[in-house]
Amino acid sequence: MRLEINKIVTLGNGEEYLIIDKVEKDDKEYYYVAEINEDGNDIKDNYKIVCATYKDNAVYLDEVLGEDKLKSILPLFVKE
Amino acid sequence: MLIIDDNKMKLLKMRRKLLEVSNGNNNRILNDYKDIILDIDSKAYNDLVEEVNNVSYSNLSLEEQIDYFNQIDADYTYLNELQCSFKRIFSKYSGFDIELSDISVIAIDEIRERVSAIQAYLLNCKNLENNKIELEKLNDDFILENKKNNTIIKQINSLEEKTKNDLLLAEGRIQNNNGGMEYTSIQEEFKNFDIDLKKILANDNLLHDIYNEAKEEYRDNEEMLEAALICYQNDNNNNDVYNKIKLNTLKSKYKLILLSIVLEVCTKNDDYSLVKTKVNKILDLIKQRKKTLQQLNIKHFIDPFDRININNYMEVIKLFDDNIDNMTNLRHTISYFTSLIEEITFENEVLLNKINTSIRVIDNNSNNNQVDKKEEELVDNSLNSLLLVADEDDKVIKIRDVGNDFLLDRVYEKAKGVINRVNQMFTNIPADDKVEHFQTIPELVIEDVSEDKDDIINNEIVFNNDNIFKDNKEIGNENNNVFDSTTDKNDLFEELLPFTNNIEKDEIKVNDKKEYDNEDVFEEVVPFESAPLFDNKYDDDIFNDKDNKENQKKLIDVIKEEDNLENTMPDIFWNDSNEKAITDNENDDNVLSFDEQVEALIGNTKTKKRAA
Repeated sequence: MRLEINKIVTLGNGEEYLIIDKVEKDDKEYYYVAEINEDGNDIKDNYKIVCATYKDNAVYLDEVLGEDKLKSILPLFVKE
Repeated sequence: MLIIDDNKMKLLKMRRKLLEVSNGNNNRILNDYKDIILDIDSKAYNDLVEEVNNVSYSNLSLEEQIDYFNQIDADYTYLNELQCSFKRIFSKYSGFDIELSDISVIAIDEIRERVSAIQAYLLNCKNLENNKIELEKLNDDFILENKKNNTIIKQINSLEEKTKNDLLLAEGRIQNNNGGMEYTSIQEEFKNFDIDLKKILANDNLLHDIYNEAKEEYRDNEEMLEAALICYQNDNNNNDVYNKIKLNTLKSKYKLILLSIVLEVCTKNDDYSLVKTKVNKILDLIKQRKKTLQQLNIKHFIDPFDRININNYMEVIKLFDDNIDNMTNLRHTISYFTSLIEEITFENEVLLNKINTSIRVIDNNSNNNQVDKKEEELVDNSLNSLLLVADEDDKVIKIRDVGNDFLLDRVYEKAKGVINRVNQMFTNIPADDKVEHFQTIPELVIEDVSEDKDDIINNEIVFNNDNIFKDNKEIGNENNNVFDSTTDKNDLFEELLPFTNNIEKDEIKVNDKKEYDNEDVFEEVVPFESAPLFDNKYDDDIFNDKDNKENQKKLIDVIKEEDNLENTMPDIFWNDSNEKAITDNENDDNVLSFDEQVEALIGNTKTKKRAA
């Protein structure tokens, strides 16, 4: 299972997210994702920065929390 | 070709020596050792994959393909041995297995099979060429033998003609009745029986007729002799008759032998292998003739039949037999080589089909999986890795492509705008600003807390992310009341909602937890007995726990119950009015000063805000 930009991932709780962007920092993969609406044709205004962890052949998306962490990750997603 | 960095290998050896001599705690060396292994392995793996991907083998000649695949095989084998060595050493010193790049993504079996197929094909091509040359040579030999055969047949035909002439020309000397020597010839012998040898040699039918007559004559004479034998053998009176019949029988036998010899000489067979039989028959007849001549008491000084050189036939017959044997052998060999060539040609067609079928040198799916696995294992086996507690809600259970109706451009434009604005907000607004807001809202302390206590508590109990966010928005807009639940809808804030929520949640979890612990103010709002309900887990449960409402209900009940127990609450709540409570008691050690009370209320409010 490989996460890629432009793909839609479905989480265990049923939520679907569009992978908008990806950065790597300290050997970790961070993804900028947006939740998909019920119709599956657009995004909701629910954006997240998540960190992908791989375990037992599965991928987990852990939301990045905390101002300090976000402050360090967010600029990486901002492209001039 | 894989090139392993010598310096890294030296570093690896140094670490290994350190591991050998280290006693006890060698985690740091092991970590270094592991990092170097992973580095070498990763680079070698990438080089190998690159080596595979960089060449389109279909554009190479078969010989070049062999070199290319053999190089991959050699590199694969080298990396495999290297990995085995790494794994063994790491396991020896750490007791753990280390997961390295899975080189099984290289389809080595297919590569080896392909190399074998190409080698077999090329070898077959070479063999085919050699066999074709051999076959051509055999065909040439066969043609030569065939020509030889024709020559031998001509020789045989020539011999047969010569024998006929010899029969006509052969002369001899015979002993006459006086013991003298007389001229004789084969023709003369035939003439004695009134047969013209020349005619019968020239006329086959005549020959056969005369032969048949002679045969009949001999049979008749034989029968007569048998009868005479019975009738006159012991009859001395008729002994002459018997002897005459016996002589006639011998003469007719001799005549038949002479004609048989001529008949055999004149017999033409299409099958030249029967010539030998014919010659043997002639020789046998000549012997019979001699025997009969003895019986007839005819003696030759020179037998004309000795002039017929039948032995000439023997040489030719031997040549003919050898030639036939050679041709038979050549036929067999040619047949063998023809079959072999057909077999090799068919085999090569199969091999060529195999070679022309492209192989997938790298299994991409496997590769992806392995990369996932590798990353996963690296996380798992990392000695310093944190134990990750996986939340099944966060587990990716499906990945799919976006639908065609998805307006990606619009989505990305919007998403980009959001991330830019959020980033800007983070970079422009210092984190301490929010604290300052809390500290600069004087209205908070003026409100009669006791009167609105239930509302406040209710606000606290309604504890959701929106309230937190809305509070923040209120902070952003100083003209609004912090506790006012209605807020302006603002697109930017709506978009920022998830991020700001995250921050709030995180702050509560990590930073402010300690702050609460240090501030007794929280206990002033919540009855002491009910405080444990919030203790420790309040921040987690408040967001997630489905039993939150139940907890809230309990909390309300407890608080209501505690309402009647004024002595359990701080005085500040149970004074007649806040105004009374908020007096400057600077000089009174037992009563909080005005500033302290304000501070306490701000803290209280903060607590409520935080809790909210």
